[in-house]
Amino acid sequence: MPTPALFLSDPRALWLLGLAVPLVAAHLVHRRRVRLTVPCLALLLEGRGPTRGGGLGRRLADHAPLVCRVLALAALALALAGPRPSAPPVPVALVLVVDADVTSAARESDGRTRLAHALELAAAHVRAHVQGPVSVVVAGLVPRVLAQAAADREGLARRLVDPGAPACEPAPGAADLESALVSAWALAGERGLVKLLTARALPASSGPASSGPDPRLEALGTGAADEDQGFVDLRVAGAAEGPQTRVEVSVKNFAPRPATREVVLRVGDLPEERRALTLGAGAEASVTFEVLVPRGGAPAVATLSGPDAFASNDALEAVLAGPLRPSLLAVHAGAGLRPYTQAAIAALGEQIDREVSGAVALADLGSARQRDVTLVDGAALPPEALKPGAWLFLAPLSGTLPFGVGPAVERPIVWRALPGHPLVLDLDLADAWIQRATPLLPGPDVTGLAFAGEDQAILAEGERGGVRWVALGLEPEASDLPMRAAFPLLVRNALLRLARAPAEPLPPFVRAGEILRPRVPLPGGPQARLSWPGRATVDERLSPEVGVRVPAGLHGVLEVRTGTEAAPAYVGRSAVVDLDRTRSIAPLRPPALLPAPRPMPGDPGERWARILVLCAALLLALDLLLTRRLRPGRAPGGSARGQGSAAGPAGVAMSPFRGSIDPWKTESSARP
Amino acid sequence: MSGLLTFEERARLARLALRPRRRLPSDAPGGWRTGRIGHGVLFADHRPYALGDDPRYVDWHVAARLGDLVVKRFESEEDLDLVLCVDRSLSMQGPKARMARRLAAALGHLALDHLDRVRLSWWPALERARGAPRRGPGALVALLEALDRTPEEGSARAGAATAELLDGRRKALVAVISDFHSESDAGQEPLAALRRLSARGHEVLALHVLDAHDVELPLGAAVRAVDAESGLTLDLDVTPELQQTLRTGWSRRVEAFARACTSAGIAHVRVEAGGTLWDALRGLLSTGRIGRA
Repeated sequence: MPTPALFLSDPRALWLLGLAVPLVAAHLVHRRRVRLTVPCLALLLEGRGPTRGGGLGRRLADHAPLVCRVLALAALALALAGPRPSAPPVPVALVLVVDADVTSAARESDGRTRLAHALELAAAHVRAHVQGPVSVVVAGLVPRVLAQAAADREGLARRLVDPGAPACEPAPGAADLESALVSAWALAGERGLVKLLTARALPASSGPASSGPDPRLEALGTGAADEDQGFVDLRVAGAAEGPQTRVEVSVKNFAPRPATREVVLRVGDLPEERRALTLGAGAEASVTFEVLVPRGGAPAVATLSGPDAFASNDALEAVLAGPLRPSLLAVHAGAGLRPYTQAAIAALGEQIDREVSGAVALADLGSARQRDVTLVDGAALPPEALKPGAWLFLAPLSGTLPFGVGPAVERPIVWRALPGHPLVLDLDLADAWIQRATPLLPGPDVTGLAFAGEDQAILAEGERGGVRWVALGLEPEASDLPMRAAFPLLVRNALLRLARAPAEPLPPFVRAGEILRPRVPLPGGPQARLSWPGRATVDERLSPEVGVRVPAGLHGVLEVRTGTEAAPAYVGRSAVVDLDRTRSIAPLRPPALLPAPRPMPGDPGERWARILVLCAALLLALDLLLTRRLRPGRAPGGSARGQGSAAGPAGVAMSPFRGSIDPWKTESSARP
Repeated sequence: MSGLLTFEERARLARLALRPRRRLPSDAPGGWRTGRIGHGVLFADHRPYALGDDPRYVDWHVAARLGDLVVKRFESEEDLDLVLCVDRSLSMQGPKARMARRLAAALGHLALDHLDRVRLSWWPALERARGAPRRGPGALVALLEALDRTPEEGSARAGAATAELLDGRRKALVAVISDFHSESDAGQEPLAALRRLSARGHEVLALHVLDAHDVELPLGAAVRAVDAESGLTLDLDVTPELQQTLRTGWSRRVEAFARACTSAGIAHVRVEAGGTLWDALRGLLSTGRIGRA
């Protein structure tokens, strides 16, 4: 069965054709001829004229008004029934993918962002696409469908460029362009077009399948700015010597021309430091700052002074922990610190907090304020003096001790040490000449670090009853020079090891996309509340074994809390940075020109309906014209007479009188 | 008394008289001067006496004064026959019939007031015997009654109606009062009848009763026109063009009829059915067929 060319969307409107019945009836009633008696029919016969026809044409002319009305009614009924072509043109969907990457925040020469240009371009393409619906996908951190198969092109275009309510904002991080294209192809269907509005490179898989680029995909440039220098890396570490913290930032010049920028570092309330950098086109350089962070830690903010087109990579932040500068209380027997002990403490320099450190005789130990570490310089402690805390014992070991000692050993040889242990790090004691040593007795809470013989630890650490301790059983006095040189290192390592207990679990910063793991178990347990910058607080399990992936696109300070809200066991902070050496605003394609808007073609069904309504109007006008020609009162000076109404129906125009043979003409009158 | 003429109209009609142009020889003396010298009472002039003249006509006073015999000559006066041919066909229904009968009554009044003979002839003729000529003022009542009571019917057959006039020897003033409509020959038949009457020696007055409504049709109507006399029908759609055409054709027809009458020596007078009696008589005055008494 052949498919009809048209179908009706609302066939019920055809019931209007029933109005044709009263129309025909009214026509017949009005067309009933009035019987009129005339005195002389010959006069009327003359008036009809010789050419007056009375055949089919006359009858058709009589009914022309009725035909006009019925046809007009039929046209109106058809128009209301909504004729639609059976095979309308297949619409071609257009999906616009607007790249809202963080680089879309780049300022163009006119001061507007690259994203604003992209939205303007998108609005122009929305207005120019007349073949079908338009969808808009915003490629941010996650793809977002801004409009799906929108038919109201003008409304969508206005929404895209509405200055009061921006359709989207630049994402804080790298946009997932690939996922956005996947969404776009799903919206486009098999015949749809996808236009990617971006200045960046196309992702590796940009087609609907993984086969590669598709000819239906068109990439349109959205900007031309390329003046950008920014941070691409950050490193925070302790200084090689001393308690300073080393902050190293790397800056890259993304512009195709050399540039000079100044890096400014602010750490807490400390005076800012500046370093000038001159970078070649595409070059990268690092700047290192060494700062003495206050004891409680401080945030460090590095910025690039001066403007460029892309400000998102012009600032960095890190939370610097306070340095390990323990306070030290040296206890001597009463005659003062031994010379080599005094020298070792002096060699510690700024590694200890000298403002609160000091020395005290054993007799005054009970009244002295407790410090981070208590160094016992060969004194014999009374039993009541040993309190929980960090203790460093130097030989000779006597008095009350948290460990047991054996008989002194003369000229021991350190034949074994735990490799890599922080206490003996960088030290080689194998060839050392040691005059005398006090070995520590092994025990379950004693960890030997260096041994002069089996079970004769001359370096050990342990903990008992809250007393954390390190004991140096060797006596430097009368030892050889290397041993003497190693002694301050042993003291320093022991001090730092004993003072490390409140070490900061969180790193100074974490990179977006990395897994955040505390360096040590969090005080208060692994269940922590994480407050990401700009996001809601979430509860996560955080331990050195179990980490949390840092979301992309975050900038700011992460706060981690354990314990209860009222009494937190731990509050730590770390900065979140999102750095990318490949992130550039340099456009890969020139900005696309705005297409001219095109009017939306009318619905073919509406076009049919309009044509039908126009036909109906023309038919009614023709009917009116025919009716008015026969309307009474237009005859010059004439008056109707006879029975019947003068306001009769429309008649057919008669041919004018063309004269007839004059019956009165006689020969005489015809004679000239 | 009939309502065709009021007393005031009859009083005004008394000041008028018929003035036929033709000499209408009559076999009876009457009050109408014939213009013919002969026996009569109206002195015409003198002429010298000739042998054989009747000595009674010698004017002795002039002979005594001049010494020569002269005789008086006289203009003869004869009787006038007025034949009123009134169209009573169905086409005359309405104001035309009324006007035709009033006009006939007026002419009859003029004739009878001068002791002339009046004869009424209907178109179509009545079935009963033809009406005899009437004379004298007393006959006016009968004339008016006949005019008032005779209904409109039938179709006017001018040829048949005038046939009896062609037979008589007496010449008459024939006043034909009609709309001169004919069914099929576009008005040829009444014209031919008038021509024959005129050719026979009668003085013919064609009093053409006109009514513009004869061709007025309701504009915009689909009309089935029925001929009043023949009953034939014609379907028409009345348009302004048709109306204008009918009016023009009707005017041309009247004009052509008037020209044809004039060329045939027949006095043609337009009588508007919607007008007054005096308008019609004024038309007759302009032709000289009536004048002051």
